This record gives sequence, structure tokens and C-alpha cells, in this order.
Amino acid sequence: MNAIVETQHLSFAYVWGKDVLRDVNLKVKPGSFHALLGRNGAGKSTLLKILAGALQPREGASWTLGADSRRLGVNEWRAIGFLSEAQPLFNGLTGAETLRFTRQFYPNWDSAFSDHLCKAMELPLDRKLGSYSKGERMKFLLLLAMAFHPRLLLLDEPFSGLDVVAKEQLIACLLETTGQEQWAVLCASHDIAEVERLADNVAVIDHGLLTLDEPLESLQGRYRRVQVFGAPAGETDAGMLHVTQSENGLSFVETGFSAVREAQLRTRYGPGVEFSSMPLREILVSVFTSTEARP
Amino acid sequence: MLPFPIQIQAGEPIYEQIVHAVKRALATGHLRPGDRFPAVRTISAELRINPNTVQKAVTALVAAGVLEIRSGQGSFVARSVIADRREQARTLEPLVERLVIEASRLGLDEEELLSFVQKQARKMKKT
Repeated sequence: MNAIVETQHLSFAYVWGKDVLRDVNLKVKPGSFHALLGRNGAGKSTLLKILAGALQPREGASWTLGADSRRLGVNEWRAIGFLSEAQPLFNGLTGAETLRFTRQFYPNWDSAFSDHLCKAMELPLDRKLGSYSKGERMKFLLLLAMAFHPRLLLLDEPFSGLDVVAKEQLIACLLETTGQEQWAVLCASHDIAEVERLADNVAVIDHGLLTLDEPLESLQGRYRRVQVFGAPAGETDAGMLHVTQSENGLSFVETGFSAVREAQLRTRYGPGVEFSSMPLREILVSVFTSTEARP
Repeated sequence: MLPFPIQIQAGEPIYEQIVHAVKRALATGHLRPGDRFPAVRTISAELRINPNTVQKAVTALVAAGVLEIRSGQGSFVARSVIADRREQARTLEPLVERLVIEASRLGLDEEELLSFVQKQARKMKKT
């Protein structure tokens, strides 16, 4: 299967600074909703910009829709939807005027789909964009990025600062196309609750390194909060993170949970051991605050 | 509205939550053998979750013999569903745990608790 996005040993630095991305190997397959997670300044936006052709990698290579990201042409531009909060819009134009202007550049522009998205997101097309609220602006940007049926949608913080209704509308519109067509989404976000519902793959960038890239289910499958009540034997091993021991017992995060591992830990700690699955938010906190988070 | 009750919660993988909700709906009678099962996109839109995740749940339910695909018609609840013992235990355990905790808080002993359960079961059979 051809990847929609692929990077090999990708590194990047702004001229004035240290490396922002280091040796990143990422692959986004068709049909997948790939979440790109990381702390502020981890390099997420930079990676999206490289894939969109707006920045040049310093080392390594990256391909977007099969083409070298440094040399994207009009065929690729017409198949990439990009949404970023910082995207400039002409504030003096109304929504409708902007749509008329934008659709000229996209032969695949689907007016019926655009109308449908407008209704679903309750966009006031007769108003000037300068009067749009933050949520309306973001929804309008999503419409611009989706109405021509892109094969790749790059989203940079699409949910940030939106109210719950706007978030739900944004998610509903994203889902209309997800899974229906052979396209892929790469979405940088801090909104974990939204990501947990939308993503099927999770990539984590930490200080420019891709520290994690796997299906969400496999990630949730191998992480467990483990609590051992009573006074257990103090034996620990490399698979255990954030080990705390108190008079009540032992608590840690298990990163390689499986049926075999469960049996092993039950044998070691006896009947007082409890396993609980972890929300993505907790898994990420554990990943970000641990130096040995890799499997 | 979906034909089975489900509330997606953070923590457990979502596809496991769907599988569990469907099996529970079978045990409680919300879903009956032969019922039409909603399409993947319907479930995805209703719960606002990735359709790939829903597809994974449906595949797991077909493999477990809970659902069957009829070509051209979509998926249906299998005509003969054999609830497996582990699933029964998984469904009942949290409820029983709460029951036992409440009973002990109220000072009921084991026998009194059992007779309560029997009484309730018989009452429901009558109606």
C-alpha cells in the first residue's frame, strides 16, 4: 500500500536555532486518521509545514502523496487540504465571496458538499470574515480545506479554543469523509478527548524525536496502571514506569501489558494486584514525563 | 438513535467498548437474534468516532459469532447466539460487586442477599 505521507530520517532546523526535528520516520497510510501529539514546541507544526511544502527539510527526505515534499506541484496542491489557526483570510470579504474566489483554484471543488458543510456547521456566509468568531473562523477554514475532496488533510490544532458545540460540528464534518474515501488525515492537537475518538493511529513527537507511532488500540492495550495492595516484594523491572511505593503498596505504569505479562505480574505480586486501563491523557502524561517511555 | 445503549468513556479502547455494549445489549434483550445491525457509518456518525474503529468492532463481533453479514443486506444479529461464560461474568461482575458492597453496608448476610436476588428474579418472571 502506498503511503500518503512518508518521511525518512527527516531533520529540520531553523537557521538561527537548534534541531527542531531529528531523524523522524513517519508513515501515514490511506484511510487513516493519524494524530500528531506532543508538548508545545515539540516540532508538530514544523513537520506539517514540511509536508505541505512550506519548509525545506535540512536532512532526510519526505514525500507527500508520493511526491517529494520539496517539489510539490499543482497536482499535489489540489489534493492537499491544510488548516492552521494562523492561516490568513481576507477579512474584508464575506464567506460566500471567499468561497467563490477559492473554488476557482480547485477543479474538484464540490459545491454541493460545500453547501452541505456550511449548513452542518451553521456558517454565516453573508457576513464578512473579519466579524467571524474564533469558532466560525476555524469551521470556515475546515470547509475551505475539505470542499475539494483532498486526499490528504493536514490539520494544525483544529480544536484549540473552540466551544463544545463547534468542536462537535467540526468532528461530525471530519467524520463524514473519513472512512468514506481513500484519504488520510494528519492532525496535530492538544485536545486529547477529541483525538481519542477520531484517531486510529497516534504519533508522539518529543523534543523533535518521534518517540511513539502506533495504532491507538495497541497503545491502549499495552499501557496499564498497576496497583499492588498490601506490602509487596520490592522487585521491579524495566517495563515499569513511575514506580511509587508507600505503606499502602506499590503503584506503577506498565508499558508492555499482555496476557503473558499479566500472568507474570500476578505470580510475582500475588492476589493483591489490580490492573486498570488508562485514558489516552494519562498515557501521554506518562510518555511525556518519562525518559524511558519507548516500548 | 442506536438500538443498543452505549456511552463512550475515556480509558478503555473504544472498539472494546462497542463490542462489550453489543454483547450486553444481547444479554439484556435490547438486541435480539435476527435484528438488523446498524451500518458502520451510522454508528460512527452517531457516536462521533472514527469509522475504522467501528469496523474493527464489527469484525470482532462477526468473528465471535454475535453478528453475521448477509451479502448485500448488511449485518444482522446472529440467529443463534451462544453467550460465552466469560462474557456473562464480565457483564455481571461489576453489578454483583456493587450489590455485595451495598448488602454488606446494610448489614445483610449472604443468605439474606441470595433470597433477595431470588425474590427479584421471580418477580420479573411473573411480569
